[in-house]
Amino acid sequence: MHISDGVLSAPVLAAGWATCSVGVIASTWKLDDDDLPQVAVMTSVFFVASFLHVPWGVQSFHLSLPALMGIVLGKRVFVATAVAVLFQALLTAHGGFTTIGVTTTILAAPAWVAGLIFQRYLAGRTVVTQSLGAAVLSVGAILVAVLLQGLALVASGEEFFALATWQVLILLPLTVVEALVTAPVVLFLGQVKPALLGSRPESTDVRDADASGD
Amino acid sequence: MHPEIDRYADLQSPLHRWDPGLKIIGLGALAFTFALLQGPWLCGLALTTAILLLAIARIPIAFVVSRLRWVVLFMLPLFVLLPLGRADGVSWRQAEVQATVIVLRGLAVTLLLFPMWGTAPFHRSLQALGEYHVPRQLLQLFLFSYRYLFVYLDQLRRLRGALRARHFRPGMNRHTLRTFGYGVGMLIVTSFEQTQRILLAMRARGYRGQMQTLEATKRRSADWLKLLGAATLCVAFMIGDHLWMP
Repeated sequence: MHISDGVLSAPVLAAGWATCSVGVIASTWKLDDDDLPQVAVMTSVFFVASFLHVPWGVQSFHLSLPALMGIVLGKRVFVATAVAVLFQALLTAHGGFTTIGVTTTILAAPAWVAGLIFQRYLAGRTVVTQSLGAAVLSVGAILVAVLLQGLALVASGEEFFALATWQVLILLPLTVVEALVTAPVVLFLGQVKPALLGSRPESTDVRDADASGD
Repeated sequence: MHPEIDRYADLQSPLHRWDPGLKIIGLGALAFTFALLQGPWLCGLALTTAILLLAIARIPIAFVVSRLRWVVLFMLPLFVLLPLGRADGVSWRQAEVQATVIVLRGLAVTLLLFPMWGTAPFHRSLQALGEYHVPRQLLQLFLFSYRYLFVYLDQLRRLRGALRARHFRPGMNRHTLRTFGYGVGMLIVTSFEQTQRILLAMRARGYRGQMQTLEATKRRSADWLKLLGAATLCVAFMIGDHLWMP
């Protein structure tokens, strides 16, 4: 989910930066200084997780786990995504610099919604339900992100329609990949650290499965 | 890939000596100007300018090329996909010209990032933004995340080593994805437990919600002159682009 520099038009870039700024302000609203290290550490963990590459044919996918970020970070996901996208653009040369606003919005908005849905309907359920729910949310979040990216391209010019379609097609397998990674992470967190999923310890069923996996 | 754009931050050049904050403002404005150019010749000129700045910064070309892989992968399909998706009344050749424009300005911006962020230590560049009204908490998030990035990269490296020692070979299969899932879960849990200790350790060292730095910034007239140079370039490119527009 990266858009290179030089592709998007001025109105789309401006809209991206505007939504990104609003999102970051809302996301850091009433953020306590004591919570800063935790958000920052989670941000680096998710950024580092994007270094895990799943080989696929001649290329490879890297993980972005937006739904998981939304679930673990709640509304702080927007600012965390902004930092991660900036680092990706500058440190690992993935994605553009002028497009940071657009990319952040594309990834963080669905992640935030996924987190809200998880807290509303899945917090306090059994870990297996949470894990399956997170997988579904992950598919949803990536699909929305991919579609938003297509929208940003087409809004920059109708001639980008073929490019947008092509990008949607190559990114579709990613929905499955991300879901299959998100599910075990949530299963693991539900068993080991339910507090991270926003649920009270007594309400999670830790007898479901063996935490160590394989 | 190792996440360091600032590997050559300790070289000596006029760009290295430029105050990091003013440098990011000046070259950042130039990046946005480049990203929105329309004329093919101007885009070529923009790329030349970026290469020239790269040469002034004395950043080795091999280092730059090694980090361009993803950008090129994104850009090459444009030469086929833009002509295929062209509107009625647009010739194949015109669409190819448009693809060239996008690739040239995209490359120009990407190359510009090296003089912009690669000529000062990355944490120094981030700190400098604090002097230009970037919100304090956001800045601290940048700095903390950047600091802990390397800690968790090391953990990830250890995890990978442990997996390799058990003859794990990643592939597109459920086993790989589940293993990655548990790995990420482990990373999240250990880091979460660390954060509380980190906060206490920082408090013990006098952290009061403000990052203290020993490096005092002192902007000289040369710094402002360089900013003026960047601004002039921006205006010149904008005027040139306006004149080119049909």
